[in-house]
Amino acid sequence: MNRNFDFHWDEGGSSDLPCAETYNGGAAFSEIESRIIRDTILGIANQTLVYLTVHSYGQYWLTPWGYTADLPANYDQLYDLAVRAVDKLTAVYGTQYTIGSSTNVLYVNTGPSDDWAMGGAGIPYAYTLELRDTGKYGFELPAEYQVYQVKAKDRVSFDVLVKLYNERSDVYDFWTEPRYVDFTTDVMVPPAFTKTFVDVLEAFNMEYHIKIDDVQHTIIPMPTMSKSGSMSPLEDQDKLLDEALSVVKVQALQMKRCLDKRKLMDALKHASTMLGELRTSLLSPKSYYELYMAICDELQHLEMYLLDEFQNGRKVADLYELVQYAGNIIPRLYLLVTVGVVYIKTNEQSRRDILRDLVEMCRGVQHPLRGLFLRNYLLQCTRNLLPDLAENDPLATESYGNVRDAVDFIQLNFSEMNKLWVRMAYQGHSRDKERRERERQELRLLVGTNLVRLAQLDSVDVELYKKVVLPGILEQVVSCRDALAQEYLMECIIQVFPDEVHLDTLHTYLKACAELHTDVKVHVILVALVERLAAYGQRQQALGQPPIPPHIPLFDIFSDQIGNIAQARPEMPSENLVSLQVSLISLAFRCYPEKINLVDKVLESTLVALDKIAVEKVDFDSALGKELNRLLRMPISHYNSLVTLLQLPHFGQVLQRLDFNGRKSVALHLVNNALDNETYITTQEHVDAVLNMLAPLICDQPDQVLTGQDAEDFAEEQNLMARMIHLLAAEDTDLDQQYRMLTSARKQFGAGGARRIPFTLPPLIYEAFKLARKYFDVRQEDELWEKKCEKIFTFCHQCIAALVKAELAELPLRLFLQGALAASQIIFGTHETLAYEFISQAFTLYEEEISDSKAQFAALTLMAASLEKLDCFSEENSAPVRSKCALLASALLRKPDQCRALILVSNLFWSSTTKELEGKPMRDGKKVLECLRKAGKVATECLDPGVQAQLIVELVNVYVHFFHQGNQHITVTHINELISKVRQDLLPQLENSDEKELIERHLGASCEMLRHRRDNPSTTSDTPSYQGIILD
Amino acid sequence: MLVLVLGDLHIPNRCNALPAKFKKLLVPGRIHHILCTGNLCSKETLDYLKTLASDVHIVRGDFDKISSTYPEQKVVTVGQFKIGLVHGHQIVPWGDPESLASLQRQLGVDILITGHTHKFEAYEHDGKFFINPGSATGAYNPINKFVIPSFVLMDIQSSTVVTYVYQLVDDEVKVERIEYKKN
Repeated sequence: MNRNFDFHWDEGGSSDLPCAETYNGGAAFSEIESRIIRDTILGIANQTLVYLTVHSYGQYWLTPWGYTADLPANYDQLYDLAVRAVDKLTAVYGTQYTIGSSTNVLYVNTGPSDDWAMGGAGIPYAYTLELRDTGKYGFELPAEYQVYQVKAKDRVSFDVLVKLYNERSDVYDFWTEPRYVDFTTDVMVPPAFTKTFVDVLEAFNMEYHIKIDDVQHTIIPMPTMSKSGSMSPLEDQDKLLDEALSVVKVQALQMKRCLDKRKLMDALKHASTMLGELRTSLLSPKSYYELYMAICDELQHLEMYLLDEFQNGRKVADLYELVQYAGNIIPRLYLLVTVGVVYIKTNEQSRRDILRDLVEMCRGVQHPLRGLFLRNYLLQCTRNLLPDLAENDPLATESYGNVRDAVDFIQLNFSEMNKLWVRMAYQGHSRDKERRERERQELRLLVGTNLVRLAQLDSVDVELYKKVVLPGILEQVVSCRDALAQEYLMECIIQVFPDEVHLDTLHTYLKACAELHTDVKVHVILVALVERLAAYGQRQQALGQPPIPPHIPLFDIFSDQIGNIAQARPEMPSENLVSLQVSLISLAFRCYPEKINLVDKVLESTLVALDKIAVEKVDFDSALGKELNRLLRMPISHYNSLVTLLQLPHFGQVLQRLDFNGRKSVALHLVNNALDNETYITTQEHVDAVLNMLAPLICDQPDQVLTGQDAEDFAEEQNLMARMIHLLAAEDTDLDQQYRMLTSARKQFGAGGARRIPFTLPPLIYEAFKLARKYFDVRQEDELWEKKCEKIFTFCHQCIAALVKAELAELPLRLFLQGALAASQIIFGTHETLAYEFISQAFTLYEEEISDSKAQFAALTLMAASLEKLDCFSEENSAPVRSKCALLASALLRKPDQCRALILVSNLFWSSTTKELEGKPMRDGKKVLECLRKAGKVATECLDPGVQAQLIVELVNVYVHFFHQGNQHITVTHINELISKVRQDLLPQLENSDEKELIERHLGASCEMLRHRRDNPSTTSDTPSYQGIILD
Repeated sequence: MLVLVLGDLHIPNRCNALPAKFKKLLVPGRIHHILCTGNLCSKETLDYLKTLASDVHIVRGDFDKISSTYPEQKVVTVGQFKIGLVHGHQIVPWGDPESLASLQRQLGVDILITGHTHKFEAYEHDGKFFINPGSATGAYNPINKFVIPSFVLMDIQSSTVVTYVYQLVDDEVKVERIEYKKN
């Protein structure tokens, strides 16, 4: 559900597997639930300020976006509001919710409801709230039932307890029955009732305590922690950390006391002891980090004190010497850095030498974890002290240094840290490799901070970046030969340095990419780079600038480079290659929007890549299939026009490489897209090309998989296809084109077989009917119109005949009747012949194919009703059909059906017309009466008096109907006889029942109408007199 | 009490979709009942109606499958009104007021709703009220030269029905109001 929303749907972080927790549904808004949520939100979107979606766990307060690491435009407001909310939560529960955009805090996830609520529905504030559990229960949060142990100490409170036991057992679960005063009983209380329950206990002064705080604990076994490597087991980590922190606290306190008493040497001794805690090897990186942070805080006090002292003129150089005598290397170097910083701050001209000294001295620690944190400390302390001055700046003296020194300093620190970080991978047993890689991931930020610092140096210009900074970083990255480091650092470069310098150094960067370790997912790096530059281009464009400076052929550079990489890495999985093509298409859309040929170029090179792997059809469920699906969907959703896709000659070819399921999925996407955007297809060529792409929906495919598709899914898919047929619409000025389109489509759909044509041919037939009427409307302008109409009806006839061949009866029968009516309304030469042909086909079908009595009655009703409307027949054609109808009515199986059908048929002799009558009604009163007499006779043959009575009351109304319209063969006597038959004979036979009541009511209403007509005779002469009607 | 009355959608056979401007008007959660004269003619259309209101009444049209479970006719009580619902292809001649009145007497209803002609009607006859919501999609019909897409919304308050008819004329939604009081 939370990957099913249509905003950047299926662009990553969701799964196509229905069993996956992140299953995306197969299509945006494929689920009724998400559609309902969508429609509800859209209904109130313009009056909604905040959208909150509450999820079970993680303790996060997340903002959009899930589809990109970019932040929403109103991120600052989102963030501020979230901070206020989280503060309130913390005040109540002490929880610490993490705030941030969901991609940045968690991971990429596309199609979640909050992205859509903000991006799709335009709600200004959207959040995902992950509740406070951090994984103990996961998705299934427990209800926190508590168990109370209760003792009633006197009679009154005991009675209260018994009352609760007897009357409120729906809420309170008594584990033991309260037996007597002073008896202890256990009661389980649901969370919503704990307060009420305790209030009662208090009010009656009962003794109680909570026996089980949360019943769930006793039901769900706690997960056992796995033992891990050389470091202490996780459950000991907290203990170890606590111990270390308490040492830090004590030593820091004593250090500060000594400083207050100005006993510097003693203070340094305590500082040294405190720093000694950082020598541990027992802590995990996470715990070590906490310890490190606590110590850094304390060292700040020391630094502040020293700054104060040495600004007053004491010799800092002595101190710098002095701390080098500290016993252990870890405390020594931390102190050295701290004092070194004070040295620089109090003596500007020492800057260059001290910095160089410090960064060199730190080499002394070669333990990866300890070394990394030490160097991080160095980097943090010196962040405002680096000589960030241009080389020609007069202030940049020899001893002060310039930006080159700053760059050297960071680069040296960076390469040392990177080496330590890489070395971590080879420490310890290989079975712990996975854990180590995870820990390294946690520590990557320490290394990356070096690059951030480099990017923050104001005096680094493009030239320096090109000549020194970037080559220096890349050399270290490439030479370290570590996949994890390379992948992270290459992405880091993309993220921390500005877009402009990337554009200028593309070649250098891409060259390095080609030299990376074979395990590095180069495509991920390139996708990030392309994404970043495409976003840059888009921003430039919004500012009215050209998206990419014209002298940089960005698209070609990437296109070539991707080719090179594919060549250099034959082992790279093809899906990764395709994901590169996906990002290329995204680049083309965003930076070269008018160049549709670039998109086709990408599709073409994808095709070349596919040629290289020897797979005939790509499995839709494979990784490659998924990427291809993504690739093909991009132009569909970008252009939102099926017809524009036809300008991409290679689109269809790539599509053909997918297996049946893949082609069908894309085809369904295409159809939905066309329907959503009402993309009309206006020429026969386009019809052919479009239907070709949709082939898996239209006819059997050699590689199709039919197992597992149920009838309902099939019908849904074919209904979609059928809806699309109405989009085949040429310009109104080009009706001939429309005819060609319909015949062309007919050929393709005709191949669909007996299962599909009941869905696809009817829409074609109706479009053809509409076309015939259009020809009729412009008959003045087209002298061949009659011929064309004839052709159209022949076409329809053939289509309907195909449905008959597919062993259908009810549908073609109805379509034949529709055809007859349509032909009768368009007055062209052969329209009577054609209408007659359609009618006779309907009758033939009725006689030969329809045997179920219910279906017969339904069909005959329609046949009689249609005939009543047909006005194009001559008497010669019309008379036999009318009699046939009457005959068929008498031949129905059930008597009530016969009776009612005869009543319907009677209209054919009264209100219908023929060619000879020129539209005037037939008014054959005698024949009408004949029909009604027959109907009356059949009614009396019904044995059930209730059924008989009902039919005769109906007949009363029909007699009145014709009498009222002036049928002189019908008299007041007829009506009186029928009424009396019901009154005298039939009703007395009936027992009191609902049926009798209904009949009486119906008769009553009929009599009421008759009385009204009798007592208020019309003044006009054409209505007959109702005098003589007997009603009582 | 808002009652949506519509029918003869004929999706997918005669039309590709309900007009977008109608879809926009039909917001979920505001309509209490739906009375549909039939000819939907697919499950998807039914699913769509169910998103608009949970109480959906449908009778069988001539192009709904014989096998579908929709009844031929239905009487629904809303507030003080008994409302009869029939598709109308069974009434010969189609749309004939006298024949409709006869059916109204048979069902004993205050309001009779029928469809089939794809032509909106709402009138009083002998003190009873007759509604034909037309075709909500403006589906093709061999008898009519033009079909205007239309549907009806009834606002039922005690003994009064205010009927709003929505028609799509030249791609603009036009609304008319007709009042009927029960005596």
